[in-house]
Amino acid sequence: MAQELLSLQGLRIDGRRQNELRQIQCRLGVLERCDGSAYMLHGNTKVIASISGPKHPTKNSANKNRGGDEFIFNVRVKFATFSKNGERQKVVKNSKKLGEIEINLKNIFKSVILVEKYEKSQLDLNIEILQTDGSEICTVVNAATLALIDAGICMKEYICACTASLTNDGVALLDVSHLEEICGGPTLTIAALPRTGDHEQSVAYVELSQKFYLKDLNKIFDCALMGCEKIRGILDEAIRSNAFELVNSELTNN
Amino acid sequence: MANIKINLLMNKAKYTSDLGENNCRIYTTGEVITEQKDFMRGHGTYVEDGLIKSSVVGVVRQINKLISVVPLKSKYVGEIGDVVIGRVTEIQKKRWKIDTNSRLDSVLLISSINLPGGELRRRNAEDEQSMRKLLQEEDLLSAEVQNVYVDGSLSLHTRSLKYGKLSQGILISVSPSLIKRRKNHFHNLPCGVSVIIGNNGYIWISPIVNVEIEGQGGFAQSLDAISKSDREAIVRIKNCVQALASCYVMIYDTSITFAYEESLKYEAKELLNHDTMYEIGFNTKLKLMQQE
Amino acid sequence: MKETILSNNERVFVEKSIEEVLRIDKRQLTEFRNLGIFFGKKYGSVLVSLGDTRVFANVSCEVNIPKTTRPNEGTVFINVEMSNEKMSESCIVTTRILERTIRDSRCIDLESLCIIAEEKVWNLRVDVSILNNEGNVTDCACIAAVSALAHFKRPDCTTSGDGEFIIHKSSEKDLIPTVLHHYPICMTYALFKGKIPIADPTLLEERVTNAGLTLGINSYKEICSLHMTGVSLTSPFLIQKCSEMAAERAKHVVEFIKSTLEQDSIDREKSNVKGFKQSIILTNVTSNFCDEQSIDNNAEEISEVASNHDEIIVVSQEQKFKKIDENTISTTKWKDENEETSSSDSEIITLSQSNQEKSKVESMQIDSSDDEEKETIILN
Repeated sequence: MAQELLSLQGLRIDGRRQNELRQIQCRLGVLERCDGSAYMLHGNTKVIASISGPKHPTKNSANKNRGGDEFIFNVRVKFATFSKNGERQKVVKNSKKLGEIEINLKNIFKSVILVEKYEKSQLDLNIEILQTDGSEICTVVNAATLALIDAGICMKEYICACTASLTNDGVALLDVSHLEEICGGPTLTIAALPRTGDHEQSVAYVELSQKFYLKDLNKIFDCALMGCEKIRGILDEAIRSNAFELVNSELTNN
Repeated sequence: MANIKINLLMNKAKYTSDLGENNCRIYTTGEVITEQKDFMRGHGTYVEDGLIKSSVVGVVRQINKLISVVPLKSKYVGEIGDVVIGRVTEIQKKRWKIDTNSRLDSVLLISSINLPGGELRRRNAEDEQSMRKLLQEEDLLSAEVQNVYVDGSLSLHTRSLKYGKLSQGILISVSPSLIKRRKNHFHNLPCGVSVIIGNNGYIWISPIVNVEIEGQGGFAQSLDAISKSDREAIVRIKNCVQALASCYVMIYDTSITFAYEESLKYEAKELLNHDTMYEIGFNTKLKLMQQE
Repeated sequence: MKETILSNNERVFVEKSIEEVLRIDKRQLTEFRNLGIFFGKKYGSVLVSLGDTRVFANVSCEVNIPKTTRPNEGTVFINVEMSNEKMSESCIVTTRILERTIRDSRCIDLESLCIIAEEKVWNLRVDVSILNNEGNVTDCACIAAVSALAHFKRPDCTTSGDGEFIIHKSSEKDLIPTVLHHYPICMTYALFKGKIPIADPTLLEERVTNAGLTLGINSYKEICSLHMTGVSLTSPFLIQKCSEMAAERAKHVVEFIKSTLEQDSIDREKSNVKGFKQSIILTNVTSNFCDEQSIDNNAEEISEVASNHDEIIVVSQEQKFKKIDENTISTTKWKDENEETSSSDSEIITLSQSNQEKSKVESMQIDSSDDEEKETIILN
């Protein structure tokens, strides 16, 4: 099933150009009972993220083992059973893949949240992936960023994540879908704080699967970072329109 | 036959975009506010490379040289003198731990309550043993913030007869940013309902309480039956407050009264529809704007 | 077992010294520790040591049903175990990195593991056990897994149609080695404050900054996997720099693995299988060890002093011996022997304090310079 990743006219399997992102839509504050929530559509990948906290630490046995005044950040990621195309997804306890995603999310956000302000408190992040079509980790990171902002958690910057791939001819493709992941080449996922100017101190997470030549690392990196910038613009717009809605009503009355 | 309504998440209406202009400058996370030279940084900001940057999404508030960013939605941050409503989570040695919708649980020391019978004496070991008789886990109470500790947790007290354990009524939780700080937080509304608006976003609606519980120190629970008309009024007020909260209208006695008046043309249970909520919120806002 | 707490002094010391381009164990910032690969008697078992970190890997095979999405390919299962906790964080991370580096980069020829398409395939299982964690377990585990896979030979089998097949013993038919397209090696760089990469961190360095970058590279300069661990923010330039450094080293490591494999197969042909005992270091005294001291003394001076005592003290020159403790020494009466050999150079020396004292000496190992005899004397 070797399909052409990039046809002669420069179109990919789903009709996009090499540098185009899929359609992204997002909404903040979708769950009323949670302190912060967000819903994100990235092509056909759909994710809901919800934040509970910061609050007093619950009395789990896991929390007792930690020493002192630490900021407790719990992450839970779940794939819905109907999320994959076709087969029903079995619920596997202690799955290594999910465990790894949770650990990575913890590390990514701990590097951006101003942890000093939340000592002794607990923050719970719950992620439910409703539909998967490639770039799940990306969408999860973006949705979690939105949920954290909705909950009013102090952070240094937005974290945006994006994927990029490489064809056999060395052309970088932005934002891989599931089909491109399977029959294509390597997939690079980056979570970064897009900053203008030099990119120092901006990459929070990198993950690569399958192999490619070292000399192409530059290209694929640049492509993914550019994708992060674009996604940041989209998130920013969504946040501002949501904020206007709130500001209109409450704070102007103060 | 059940009456089911299905609302799509992406089509959730934006309730407030119809009214007014937005003059406020919104700062997002990581946006530069100003250089650090002449200013001090307050809540919601951080300093990097000599610049003050915002760490939350919100509106900048500048008081003289202090710059802080008020987030649109956040947990309750207490100040001395605030009235709060809380729920007991734990009983520890000589204190109760109270959940007040803030980052850390608040503390009610045994020395900060009024003893039953209104005595004035030092608390002894017997009082410690009988803490559970006064307040158990999951009890609701109203209190005032006495002190704020270094780590941000609050110390409460109930040293007045208007504070104490709450008995029969409905508790609603809204965002703390919707509550104004006012002189009085205990209101007896003309419709026969008493409302306590806690600064922490918890609002208690109950039937009007007669003041014959003095001498009990506010820890008695009156479990008398409440009449049907009272119950209807309470439920109506509760639905109105929820309508105001979902339309992001500030909640205080005037706004609740206006909303109540608006809601009289509907039945109490019809107020749960999204469209009705929107209408009530919208009309209340109009009235409030006209009043100014 | 709980980990000991890292003191603030240690943390500050390590951070400051890294800023001054110094490492605790005197390595360069980009230098890796010594790598040792020891194959066992059984095919597929290997012990790898990187400095003091020791990892053991074992490969076994069994017949299984293939995955529905890939009916012609065999499967590989990788399992990493640390001695104390079941499914700790680092265990999960290491397992996933190995899975990505080895499985997802398709270094093993899985189609050759197929017996009957859509029904029976070989499932290779790699079990990695961390024996001693002195930092950089990932690298060690990866080298161990890859070497074990390269060393492993599976039994031959013949299919007789109708879904039946026979697995042959090694005595009937030769074992088949696994085919590896390329050898992916992991390199870990710990990141200090997101700016300074330290190659091959020791346990102390790892705990001071738990941020790190693990790259999987093979000898053809192809990146097989890339993974950032821990809480840190770095720049893409740093990642590229690290990848280039890692690519250089990968070549050497792969050559080392291949040469060790060849050496092992040569040894097996000569029936000279050494097994794991090569990995044990023999020159250590394993208990109550203290520093070597060389003593240069004049024979005459000492025999003068000695003549006042009951025991005879004989001096030997140019001898190094490992003394346990100056004060608690030992004695036995070597009188007769020593009188005879008092003139020779290579003599045994015992110092005594008093005859009555029965002090304990665990062991003394004496190197005699001329005779090259090693005598181990245990004195009570």
